[in-house]
Amino acid sequence: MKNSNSKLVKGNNHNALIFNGILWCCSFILLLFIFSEDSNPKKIDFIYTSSFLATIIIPVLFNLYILIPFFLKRERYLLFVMLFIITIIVFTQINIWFFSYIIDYIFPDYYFISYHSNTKLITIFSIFLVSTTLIKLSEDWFYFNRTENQQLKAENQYIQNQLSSLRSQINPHFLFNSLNVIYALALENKKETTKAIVQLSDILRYVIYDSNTERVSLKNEIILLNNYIEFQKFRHRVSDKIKFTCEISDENYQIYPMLLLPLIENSFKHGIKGDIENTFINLNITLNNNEFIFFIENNYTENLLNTTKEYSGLGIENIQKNLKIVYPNQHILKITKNDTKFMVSLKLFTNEN
Amino acid sequence: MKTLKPRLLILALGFLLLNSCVVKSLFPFYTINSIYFEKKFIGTWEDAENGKWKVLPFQETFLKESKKKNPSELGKDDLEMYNKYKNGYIVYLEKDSTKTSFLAMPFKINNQLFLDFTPIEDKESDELKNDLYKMHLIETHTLAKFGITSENEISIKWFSSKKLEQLLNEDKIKIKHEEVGFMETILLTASSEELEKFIKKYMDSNDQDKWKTDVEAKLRRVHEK
Repeated sequence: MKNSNSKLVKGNNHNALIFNGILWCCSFILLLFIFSEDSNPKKIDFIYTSSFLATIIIPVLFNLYILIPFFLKRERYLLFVMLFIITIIVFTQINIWFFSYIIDYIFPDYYFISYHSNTKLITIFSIFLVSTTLIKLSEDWFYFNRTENQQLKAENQYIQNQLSSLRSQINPHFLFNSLNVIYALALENKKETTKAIVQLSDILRYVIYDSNTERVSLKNEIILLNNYIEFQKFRHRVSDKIKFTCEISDENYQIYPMLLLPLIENSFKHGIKGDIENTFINLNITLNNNEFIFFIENNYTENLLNTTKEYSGLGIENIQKNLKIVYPNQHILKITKNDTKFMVSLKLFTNEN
Repeated sequence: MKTLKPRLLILALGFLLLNSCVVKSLFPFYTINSIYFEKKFIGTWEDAENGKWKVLPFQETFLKESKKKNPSELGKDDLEMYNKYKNGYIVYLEKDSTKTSFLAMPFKINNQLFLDFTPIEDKESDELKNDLYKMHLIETHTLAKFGITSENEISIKWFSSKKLEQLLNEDKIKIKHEEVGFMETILLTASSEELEKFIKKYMDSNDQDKWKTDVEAKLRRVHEK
């Protein structure tokens, strides 16, 4: 990211040659048209316009490359305004001197005069300085906007990469656990083994194909969870101890795919154990007025958690990372435990602000 | 049509001789800041062609013609005119049995005196009953360089239109102007400020023929009895 940013900063460089080339060519044509007063420009008009423009170029460049970067952009507004006005007054006077005295030394055969009153000259200089300031600020804004867009694209790409990385962490983790379940069923020569393989196949199809979008419908996500729970029942044989309830007002509610699965995985891993009495998992999903609440609780024994410490944090950690990226400031994740229960609640909401 | 063409040619030639001699301007050649009253111009003068020039101060002449003793007695419009031209002269010129009068405003640029002439009255044309012709004419300003040779001798040199045309044709001068009338006479339309700046520049130039002119009056003071 640092490298891409530095490239972007280099790309912001204002091309002074092109900028000034276009600016002064346009200004010359405009002034030549004005000073020629609708007649065909003569040699004297070209000389006068060039000379007049020469007296404007200096204050404009002074403003563009000294006053704007050192005062306006550093938020020294009062000083900038004062120096801006002084520049106009001083260079207006220089223009008058130039056409009264200096030009006679450069073009001795011509009778040039300062054709404009002080007020008119100040107006011309003000128009030039104000308009070039606005052009420069517009150019800066254009570059800034382009850079910002490029940075946003780069950041977005970075997030996408991060999400892919997190998903790729989930899949092998889940697959590893699932294969363990099928392995256990196969060891016992259970007839449910083939059914379990089909269910795992459904789960994997969802994980591999359907979940590769930014959002999925809550309906599909619940099917996945049901499949997963059914699949786990083959292993643990505790169907009466798993309660899954849903109160959903809108089945098409869009949710980040595979967001909830790690939490259920976690509960099965640390809650449902065949050799422990009173094991349970209570799972509830509610959706009401775009407020999504997921709640899961399972039995908790401190010793068991300690023995599986190496794996227990991975699911929670992944979901925390995902939530920060896909639901920034739009989620509340609470993890609580007491002597007998481990509870996780996740609330997703739309940030109206 | 047969008779109109030669008449137009004669008329055009006459115009060319009369109108193309001096530079004419729509606006005065001076500004209020450059006005400089020179007492020595006042008096009666005679030129080389026996023309009689009577130069009177504007202030006195205007009050006398208005039959007032003090400017405070003047009406609003008259007072405004009085204040505008109070440092000028009324020049009465009698020449070849014609009587004309001019307003001459003196001004100084780079220590050089100039006169800005504007016609006031032409007695012959005023007496014409059919004044349609006169309706087409406008009063313009002309510029003359004023020189005091001695107490009794002065010279008035009008700025030659030939010289201005030469400068314009050579593309050496950039000044607002129009070509007006049947003969396309050059009429300066630049402001008084611009004209004053131009005169200053013109005076500083090294051009030896800058005041060369066909219209010059060398006047000698006439001591009236």
